Amino acid sequence: MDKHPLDYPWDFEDLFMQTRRFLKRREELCQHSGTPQQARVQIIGGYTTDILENWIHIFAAYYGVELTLDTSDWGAAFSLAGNVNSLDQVDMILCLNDHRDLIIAGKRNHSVIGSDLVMSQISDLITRCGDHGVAISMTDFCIPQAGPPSGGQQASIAQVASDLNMFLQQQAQKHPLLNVLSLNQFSALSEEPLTATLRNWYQFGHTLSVAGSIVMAQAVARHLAFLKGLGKKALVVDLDNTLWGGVIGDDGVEGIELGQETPRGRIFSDIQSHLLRLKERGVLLAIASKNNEDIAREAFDHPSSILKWSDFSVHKANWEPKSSNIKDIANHLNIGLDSLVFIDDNPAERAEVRTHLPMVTIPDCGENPEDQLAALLMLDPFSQNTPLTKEDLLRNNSFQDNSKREQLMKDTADPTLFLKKIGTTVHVSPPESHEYARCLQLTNKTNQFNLTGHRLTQQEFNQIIADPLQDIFVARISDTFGDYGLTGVMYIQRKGSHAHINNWLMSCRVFSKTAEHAMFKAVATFLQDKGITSFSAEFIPLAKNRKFMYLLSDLGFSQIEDDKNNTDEPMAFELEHHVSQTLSAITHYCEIIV
Amino acid sequence: MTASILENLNDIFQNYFDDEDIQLNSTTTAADIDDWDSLAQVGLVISIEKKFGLKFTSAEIEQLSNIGEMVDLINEKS
Repeated sequence: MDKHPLDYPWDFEDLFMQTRRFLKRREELCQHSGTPQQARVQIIGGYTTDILENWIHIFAAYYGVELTLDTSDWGAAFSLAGNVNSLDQVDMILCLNDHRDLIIAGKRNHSVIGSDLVMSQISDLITRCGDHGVAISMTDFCIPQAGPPSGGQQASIAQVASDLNMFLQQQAQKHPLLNVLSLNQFSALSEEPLTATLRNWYQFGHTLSVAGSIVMAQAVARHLAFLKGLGKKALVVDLDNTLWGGVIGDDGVEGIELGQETPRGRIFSDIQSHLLRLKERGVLLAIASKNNEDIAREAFDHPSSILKWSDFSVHKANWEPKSSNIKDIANHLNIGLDSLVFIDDNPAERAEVRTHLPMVTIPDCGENPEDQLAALLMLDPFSQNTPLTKEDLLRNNSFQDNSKREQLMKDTADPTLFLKKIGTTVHVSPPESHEYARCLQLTNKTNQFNLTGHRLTQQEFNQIIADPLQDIFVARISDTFGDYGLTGVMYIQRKGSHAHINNWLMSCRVFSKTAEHAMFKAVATFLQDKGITSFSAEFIPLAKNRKFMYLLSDLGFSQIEDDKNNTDEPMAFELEHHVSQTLSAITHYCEIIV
Repeated sequence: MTASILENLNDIFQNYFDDEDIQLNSTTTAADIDDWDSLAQVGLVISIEKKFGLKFTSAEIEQLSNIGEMVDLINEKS
C-alpha cells in the first residue's frame, strides 16, 4: 500500500497542482473514525495567504478538524492585532509575522521599526487571547540574509528580527496558549526554500513559497488537531538502524554505532535525545523490533546510549509481524491506533504496518536516520511546544507502575481481592483553579470514558465555572503503586432538586479499578447533602465509548425507554427512586476522600 | 510546438480547476472560466512555471490577456 500523498514527505509540486481536487473532496480525507471536530481560526497578517489557507483546510480535514477560517486584512500582523475585535467563538489566532513588517517602506527615509513597539503589540495580543482562553500560533520572523527591501538596512532588520524571535520564545515559555511556529527551524530542515521568491512577494504578496505554505499549513493543522483532542500520544520505534547504527544481534554492543565518535553515531545520539525529550513531555515510548529481547536489551548498556530500556513503556522484541506487535502495544497502553506514530528505517516494515494499520502515522522517508529525525521535527506530531500538565509528566511513571500492578494481579487469583490489595484512593472535590487546565485537557482528549463526546473551549469552560447552577467535580486517583493525578472530571447541571450529568470523563489509565463507581458515589452523596434528590444523564454513543452504557446501569440508572431501539442514537438514563439505597448499594473497592 | 503547449496548458487548467470539461483555445480568457479569478491566476502562474520549468517576470504576467498570448510567451521562453 502506498503512502497517502498528504503524509510526510511531501511532493510539493504534485500537491500544489491538486489543491482544488483535495479541497473539494476534503470531507472524505478524515483519518479518524467519527465526526470531525469543529474549529474556528482567525488569521492575522501574512499578506496574501490563499495558498496557505487552502492547505490549512486540507490538512485540518485530514487530521479530523472541520474548519472555519477568517482571513486577515492586508498588513503587518502586529499592527493588525489590535483590530481583532471579537475573540468569541475563536479557537485559535494564527499570527503570521514577516520580516517585511519591520520596515516603513515607500518613504525617502526607509526606517526599521523598533522592537519595543512590536513587542508591546504582540504582548497585548497574547494577554487578550489568554483572557479569552484562545490559543495563538505565531510564526517567528525569518532572518533576511540579503536583498531588498531594506534601503541598506539588512543588518538592523536581522537584528530586530532575532531580538523578536528570542522574545517570542520567552513568551512561549510563560504563556501556555502560545505556540511558536518556527519558520527558521522548518527552513533548516527543508531542502526547498520555504519563503517566497521576490517576484512572488512583489507580484502576489506571498511571503511563503508553495512548499512553505504546505509545511506551515501542516504545522497549524497538527496543532489544531492536538488542541481538539486528536493529538498523537505514543511513539513506537524500531531498534537496529533506527536507535543505533548496525544490528545488535550481529554486531554486538561493541559493534553498534552510537555516540559522538562517528557521523552516524552522532545522528543516532540526537535521535535518542529527541526521544528522551518527548518522553519527558509525557509522550509514551514503545519498542517494536525484530530481535531477541535479551539481545536487544544489551544495546541499552552501550556507554553512549542515552535511552534506557526502562524509558519504554512497552517492549515488543520478537519475530511476530510488526503490525500485530503494534496492535498489542496500543492495547497495552489502552490508546487508539490512530494516536500512534511509528518510525522504522526499513521501508518493507513500514509498508507492512501501513497495509494492516493505515491509521498509524508513519513518516515514509528513506532509510537514513537523519531523515527520520527531520521527519519527527518537521511533523512535530506530539506538539512538543505545548505546555505540560502534572499528569503528562506522571503518565510514563504510571505505565511503568502498571507492570507492578500486573504482577500483583497475576499473583492474586481473585479479582476482588486484587482490587482490595491495590488500595485505590479517590479524592473528589470541585477543581482548584490550578487544575482547570488539566480539566480542559482531559475533557478534550478523552475518547473512551466519555459520556457525550462534547468538547469544550476555554471560554465555554470559564462560563461553566462562573455559572451558579453548574458544578464541576474532579477525581484525583492514586494507589499503592503510584499516583495517576487528576484523572476524572464530571460536569453537573442543577435544576431545582434535580442534577443532570452534562458530561463525565475519566482517563483510560484508571479503568477497571471501580474508581468510576467511587467517583459517582462521592459526587452524588455530596449533591444529596445539598438537596438533590434525582439524577439523569444522556449517553451519546461514539466510536469508542460503549463501556458507559453498562456503567450507568451498574450505578443504578435505568434507561428511559423509547420506541427507537437504535443503539447508535443518544440514550437517556435516570436515577429517581430510592436514590439513597441505590447509592449505598454501589460496589467499589476504593477509599473515598472528599 | 504550440499545439503541445496548448495541450499541456489544458492539462494544467483541468487539474487546477478540477474540471475535465475545460477546453482551452487561443482566445480563451479569464472571463470564460468561472473560477478563474485573481487568486486562481496566481496558482496558474506558479503551476505553469513548475510544469514548464521557466519563470515569468512581473511585467509578463501583467500583460497576458488570453491563452494564445500565454502559449506564445511559453514558446518564446522555452
